[in-house]
Amino acid sequence: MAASTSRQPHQVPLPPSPHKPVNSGKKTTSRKGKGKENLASATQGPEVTTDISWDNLESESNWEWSSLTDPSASKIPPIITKDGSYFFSLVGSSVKIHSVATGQVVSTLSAPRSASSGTSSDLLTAAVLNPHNAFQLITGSLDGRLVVWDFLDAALLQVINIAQPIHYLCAHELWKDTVFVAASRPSKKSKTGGIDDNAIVIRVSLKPVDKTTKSAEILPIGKTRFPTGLTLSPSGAWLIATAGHKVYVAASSSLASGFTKYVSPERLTCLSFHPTDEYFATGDDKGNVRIWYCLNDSLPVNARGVEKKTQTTTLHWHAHAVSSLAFTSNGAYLLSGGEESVLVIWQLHTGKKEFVPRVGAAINTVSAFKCGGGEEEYLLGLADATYLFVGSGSLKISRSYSRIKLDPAVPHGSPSRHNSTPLAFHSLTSTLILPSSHPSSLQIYSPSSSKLVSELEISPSNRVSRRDEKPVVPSYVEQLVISPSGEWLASIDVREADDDFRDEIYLKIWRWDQKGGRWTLNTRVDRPHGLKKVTCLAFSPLSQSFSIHLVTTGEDGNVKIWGLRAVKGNLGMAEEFWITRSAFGFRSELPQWATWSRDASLLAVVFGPYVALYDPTTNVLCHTLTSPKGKTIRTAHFIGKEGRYMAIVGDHDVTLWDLVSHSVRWTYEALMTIDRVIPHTEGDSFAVFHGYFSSQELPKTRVSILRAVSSAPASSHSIPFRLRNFSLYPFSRKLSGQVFVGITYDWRVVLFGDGAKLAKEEGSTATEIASSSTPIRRTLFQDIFGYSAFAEPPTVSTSVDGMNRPRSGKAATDVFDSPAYLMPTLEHLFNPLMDGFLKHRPDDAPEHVVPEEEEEVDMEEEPAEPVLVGDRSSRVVNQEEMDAFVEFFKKHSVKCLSTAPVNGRSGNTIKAKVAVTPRHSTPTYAPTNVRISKQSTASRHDAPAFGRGEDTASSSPSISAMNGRKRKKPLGG
Amino acid sequence: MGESTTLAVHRCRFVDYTPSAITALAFPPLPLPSISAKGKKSTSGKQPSRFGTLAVGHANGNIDLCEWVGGERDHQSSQAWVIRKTLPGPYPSKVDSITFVIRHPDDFDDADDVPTCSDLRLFSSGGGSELLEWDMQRACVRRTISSQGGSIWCMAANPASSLLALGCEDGTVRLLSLANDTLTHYRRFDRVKCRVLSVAWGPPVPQYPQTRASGTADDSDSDEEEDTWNDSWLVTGGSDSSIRKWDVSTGRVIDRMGTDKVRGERTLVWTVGVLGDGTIVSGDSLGMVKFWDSRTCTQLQSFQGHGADVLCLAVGPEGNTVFTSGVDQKISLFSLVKIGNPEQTSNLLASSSSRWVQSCSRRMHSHDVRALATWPPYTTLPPSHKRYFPMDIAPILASGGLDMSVVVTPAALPSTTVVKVLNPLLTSAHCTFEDSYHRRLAYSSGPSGTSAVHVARNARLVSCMRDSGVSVWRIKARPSGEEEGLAEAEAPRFDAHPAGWEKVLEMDLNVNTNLIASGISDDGRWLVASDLYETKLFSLTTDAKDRVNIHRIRDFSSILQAHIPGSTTSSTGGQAFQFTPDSSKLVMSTATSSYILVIDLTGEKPRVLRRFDQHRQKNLTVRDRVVKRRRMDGDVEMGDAAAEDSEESEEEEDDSTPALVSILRISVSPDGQWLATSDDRARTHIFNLDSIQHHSVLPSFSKPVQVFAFDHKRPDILTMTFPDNSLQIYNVESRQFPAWGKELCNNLPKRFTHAHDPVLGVTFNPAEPSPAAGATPRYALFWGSTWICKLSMSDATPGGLTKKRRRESVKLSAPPPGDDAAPDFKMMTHYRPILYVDFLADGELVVVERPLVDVLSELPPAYFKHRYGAS
Repeated sequence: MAASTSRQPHQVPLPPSPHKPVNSGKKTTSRKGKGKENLASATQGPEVTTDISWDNLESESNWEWSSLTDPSASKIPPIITKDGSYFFSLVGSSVKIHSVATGQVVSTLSAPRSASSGTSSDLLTAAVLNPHNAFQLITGSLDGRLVVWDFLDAALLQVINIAQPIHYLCAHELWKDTVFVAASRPSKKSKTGGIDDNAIVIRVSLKPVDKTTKSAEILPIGKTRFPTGLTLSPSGAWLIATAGHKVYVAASSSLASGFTKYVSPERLTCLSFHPTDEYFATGDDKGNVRIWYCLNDSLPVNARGVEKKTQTTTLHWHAHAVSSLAFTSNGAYLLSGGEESVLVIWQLHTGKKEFVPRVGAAINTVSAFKCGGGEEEYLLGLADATYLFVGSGSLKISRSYSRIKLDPAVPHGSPSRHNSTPLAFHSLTSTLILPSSHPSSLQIYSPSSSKLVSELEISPSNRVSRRDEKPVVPSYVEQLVISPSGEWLASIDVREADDDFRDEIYLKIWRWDQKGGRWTLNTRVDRPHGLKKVTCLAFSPLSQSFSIHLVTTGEDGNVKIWGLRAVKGNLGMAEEFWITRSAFGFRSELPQWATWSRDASLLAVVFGPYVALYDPTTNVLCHTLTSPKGKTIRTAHFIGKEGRYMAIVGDHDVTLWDLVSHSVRWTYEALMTIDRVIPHTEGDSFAVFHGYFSSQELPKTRVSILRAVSSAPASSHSIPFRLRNFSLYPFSRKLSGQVFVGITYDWRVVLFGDGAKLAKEEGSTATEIASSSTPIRRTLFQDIFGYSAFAEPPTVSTSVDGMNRPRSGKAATDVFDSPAYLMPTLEHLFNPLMDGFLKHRPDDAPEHVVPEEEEEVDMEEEPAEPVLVGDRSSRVVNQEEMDAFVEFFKKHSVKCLSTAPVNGRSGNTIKAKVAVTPRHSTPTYAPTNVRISKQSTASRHDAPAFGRGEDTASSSPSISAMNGRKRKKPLGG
Repeated sequence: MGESTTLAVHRCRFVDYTPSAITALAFPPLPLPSISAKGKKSTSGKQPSRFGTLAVGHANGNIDLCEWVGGERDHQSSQAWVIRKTLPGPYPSKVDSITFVIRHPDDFDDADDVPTCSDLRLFSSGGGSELLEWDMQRACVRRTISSQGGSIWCMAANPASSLLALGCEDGTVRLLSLANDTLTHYRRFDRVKCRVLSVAWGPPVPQYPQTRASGTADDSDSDEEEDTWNDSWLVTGGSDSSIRKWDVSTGRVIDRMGTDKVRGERTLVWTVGVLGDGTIVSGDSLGMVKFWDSRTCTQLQSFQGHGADVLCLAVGPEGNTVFTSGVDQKISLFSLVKIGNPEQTSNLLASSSSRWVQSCSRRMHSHDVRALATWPPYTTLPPSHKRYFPMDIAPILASGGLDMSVVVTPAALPSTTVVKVLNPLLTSAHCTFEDSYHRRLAYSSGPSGTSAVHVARNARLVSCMRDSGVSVWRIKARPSGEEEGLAEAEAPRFDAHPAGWEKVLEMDLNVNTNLIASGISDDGRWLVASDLYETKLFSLTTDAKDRVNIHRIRDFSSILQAHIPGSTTSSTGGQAFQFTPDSSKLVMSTATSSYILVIDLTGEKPRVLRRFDQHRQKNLTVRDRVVKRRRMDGDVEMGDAAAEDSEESEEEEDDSTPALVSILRISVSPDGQWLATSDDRARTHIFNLDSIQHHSVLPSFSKPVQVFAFDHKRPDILTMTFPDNSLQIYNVESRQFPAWGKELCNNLPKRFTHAHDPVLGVTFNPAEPSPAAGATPRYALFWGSTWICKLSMSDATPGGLTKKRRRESVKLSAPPPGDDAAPDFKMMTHYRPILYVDFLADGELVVVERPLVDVLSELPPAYFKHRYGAS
């Protein structure tokens, strides 16, 4: 995640300096409001702080922040390596290298920011494999740079700047060191300020003029409209571009003669060339797939003013625009996908079609590839950043890999309108619950593993619903709250009235199913507050005396308290569900906000300018606090451990009440509107989030931390984005500061606050993937002696993450949460830990592979302990043996290297690395995070057989039990 | 110009005329190129200078011959093909297949010349075992021959026009020899155990002269023999899901190709075609279109082209496209595309680098499509002799079926759009089959472009002729109270009273052929109808209860026969009838002998007053000088010339064999003085009915007259309209074309001349020529099947004003300067399709309509397969 690294603020946070002018009055905390009356007037107000110095920007510090997610959805079709083991997706300004087998990101290539171009974005728009070196990737970006990468070594080899925004790239082996580029034409006159849609296709030589980034040779081929595709035919004879309503064809033998243009009736959106024959396919706006047979047309005359057309065949199934097309490698099928979320497989010979329906989201990209010698697979990139693999034989979705489905690239149509962004934590599983790609569903995201755990569809809705141009507005999740115990989740989902139906508002209460590890719907309440909006949801905190309750406030004036009722079911099972326990109102004011005191002994409800305090058990109105000056109160919060204070938040001010003395302690007035106030979990401090500077061009959010003792901000911070929703991030380990999590306006999930840093995600930086690619190709040695004889077998193979295996007990998680130096020695730790795992461990081996990469991070902190060797049953080949083998095979001159199907430079280096592997002293070097299941079972099968003859002794009973399992299973299966 | 005229309109929709479904279409073939002239021929990129005659076979047995109405050098025409002549089929009969054959193929020197009707022979078969050869001149059957093998399912003439292959019910293919204008049985192929549903000839093999190398002595006379094309094989589609390839010389099956079957049922191969390179195309009852290699008899490609049976196919002019259609009403285009890599393909694989693809399909018919034809026609020729046509004129695809209209479509290939392509139909700028607009050729209700509907003005009767019967309706007089409700002609209203009409007569006649003409007199007392052989005259009497009694004049046929020379053999059938306005005389033209008979009806018995035979003359004779066809440009002198010889003895008998023409149009002036007749050789004669003498002959125009009429107010003015919507105005009295008329004819509005349907009739308001009425401007109503056009016809001061001819009125009001032709001219298109328009009385118009919906509702339901989501 180099991209986000570069965004990290590097400057040292300034010490929070108090505002000088703020301290106008006495900061006497002793002077508490003496007024017996609850009505606090401004004149009488004890301490009024007016924050008048927002201009003085240096007084605030930039808060640390980091992004939990990074954009991963991309409309650019992924590039697949020649051997089909990796694919590259272009996301923003970086290339993510995914493993085909697992879908995980193994590496990220990020080009350095171009020095010259300050304004132009460096979004990557095109990539192509170097046709002469399959391990080089050439990328093009909007800032006009062509970058050549060695993706195995993650090395940037070359940068060529052509100073025009690049949109498409293609290359062919007929032209060495040359790419064809579709680039925006620099418009001489900026007409109408619009997007200039003129482009030019040029041939660029990648040989730089010495020491510069300028290209040696640029040959223009022809002008086009804004291109939607550029490709060379597999034979290299034709260069095709699509733009607007036209197809541009140039014979590569006579590039100087420029393009011949053919007209399509609709605007073209995508392009794909047939792998063997001389024709190509385009998709258009109206959902037609058109196959063009224009490449052999004789062109006798070039009449002017004639719209050229040509022989085409139309395949029509899609109702909306076709987003991507791909031919299968044998050329017999054409794949197309679009907004309908259906992959259509056209049999070109007969025109028949097959479908893979309901892939989950609109299809952005389609590509077909062959992984090794295996079955061909289709890779679908969905609009919600999911990658799906579809087997060509079964036409079933074989694997699906989704990252967090919250992405700036994904259009979130509806929620942005409603400005309601649900966000919550589930403490039991340490997961974040975030809005998903569809407004009616939520996604459950585990920040510790940075994986998407599951999705929760709050209200079933049709994912693809668009008649004509206007999409049907789906229902959306408006509010979301999770009980402090983590057992209950309450959600409000709304579908707004249309011509055809009335409002739908549902209160849904979900229960965490501990066994299944999912949320199950417990109670659905239709229209909890009639047709009126529900303004607030709040669960009561845990307390001994008081069972859990939920309070809702609605615009119908009612406050409802919902409680659990248990009923004996038919089968004698106790069923619990939620019912309205009580409903009340206050002076015909509309309730805006409800909050519980920490011990659940008080319920505060904001009604217009009043805050009413109730005893929740009896519903007795204990007290009423009235806003000074009668201003409307927006929220109210209990502050402090005991909840002694209450912060009442208006549009521009915060008033702190002492609930014991019923007096106002101080009032804080801000120039800007106050967005929200979040009390810290510990202590009496709370954070005030200010609204948005309209004057400032850069979006920015300011945060002031206030304490109960004073109206002067203890510190103030700013973060360079606006937030849709945010809350405290409870999983941060540091106790000193508070960390918040929020969803920004461009749909990123960010952590911010003091020390808001995350562990690096695997593969988020540019790493060599050569090492991890070795397990895929087995060497001759491995074939003979078994895989595990050389590679380190999975060691303890513990998954630390609680979320991935919720059943494996919290014990394991807790152990590894503490710092490594505090841990007991492994001898003590091992047996109880392993017992826990052996009990619950899922049986099949492949599952076991996945968590290892997480482990790699954790294990690095541990000292390299030789203890592990003792735990292992299989024998490790030592260096002498290895050398002997090498000698042996050299002598007998086995021509293994020449037969290896790798080309170029890779063969030697990779094998060298394998041979060297045992020299690594650290046992945690486990390059096994990418492994096909077949191989791992095979290796497991081999390992004991090899090792049994040498050392059979000295393993603990538990280990031998494990070995027994291991041995038995592959034999049985 | 406040010339808006108020007319009451009877919008008659009760006439239950139903056109007949189209079952076959044919264009004439092009003659084969000579083998020796191969080198020269390759340059022949010029379009055939003319468009060929389109023959349309109907389910009622009639065959319409449609001529292209564009000029000789014009490649574009709005009206496209217009029915020139109808060959009435025997009653009852039908047409299943029709074929044009060149009569003397050896006489064609220029291979690109388009044969005209006189060069062609026309064969048709109609479900029975009889094969009919037609005499297109006389519009009758020339000869018949039995297939000797049961019903004829299909037929095809070989490219050399020397053999005709018939596929018969009994599973044989029979070859008939056509040499030297004969029709004889020539060979019978082996019998197979299925019906032969379709047949097509393979490409002929050029026989190169062996003598050329050996000796040069007999060069001169061997030239004829050298130029021979030998037929090697033909292909048939059977009812047993197979396609067979036959050797023509031995009559044996060479190979058999099997199509797909469903559950063991037999697939019917409805249609086959052969391309020049030997590729066989087949369409079958499963909707499959298959391409086969004729050498190996293996399937090359197969397409599920249609949802139901493929009934017909047509090969595009250059043999790289195939159109198919059938029950599912779609017309699918298959085209040959090159997809191979030009560098990689060696010569051996050259053929495999191209492939057939299904390009597009369009739906232009509402019911089954039965026939397809392309112009220029495709000739199955080996690739070495392939015919090329210019790229810049779009070929035309004609299609017809159960929905009774011929649809013509420009069908250029998209790959020809590298140049500007002309659309011969002027439908739009688009010429490719995928994008172009099609045109529905209007049908006329009667044969030969006449109307089957006639109106008796005084009796307020409407008669309609059907295949074998006549129906008569009475339009009741409108209540006088509705006088003020007269609608404007531009915005006519329905007549509100529901039962404004009643059917008074319906009769079926005992006929030999379909009826070819009918007529009703203005007073409603006489009704005449005729098939090809006999004219039947009926007298109608109305009793007190408004019931119509009918009485046939039994001896009318014998009366006529006495006046037709050689009448023992020739028929008494009439081709056109016209009663004089006072209903005292009937003028008719005889069907096969081209006489004009004037019959007096006032006496006890009908009496033939006079027989004219001017139309039988081969040439127009001006004194002793033979006037050949002349062009239009000299019309003034021609008029004068015609005037000169007007008093020529009309009795002059041509010495040579009389020309047999069809006199299809007869008109009598409103005052009963003038008679105008016109034949299909574009000759028009004027007779004086008062003196019963020939008056004058008009110069022949390039096209036969489509319709003509005399003006009511000036009975000496004859307005002639032609199928390309042009006009001629002739003053009969003074025997000249008046200057104002010429000016009018040269300045016709574009909307009129470019109307998509040809003019079918013209009518004038029969206003009393009273002095008071002189103030009302004069106009004519022209009508086609989809439009009514009001055109001012007033003869203003000649040469003075432009088109706006003010009536010579006392008021000297100058026309407002801003006026152009618009007020004089009005096009109404909201009646369609129109069968007939005429005035019943002054200001009372009757428009007979036959809505297409009503016609189609009588058809069996069309194939329809619901598709999900297709709403």
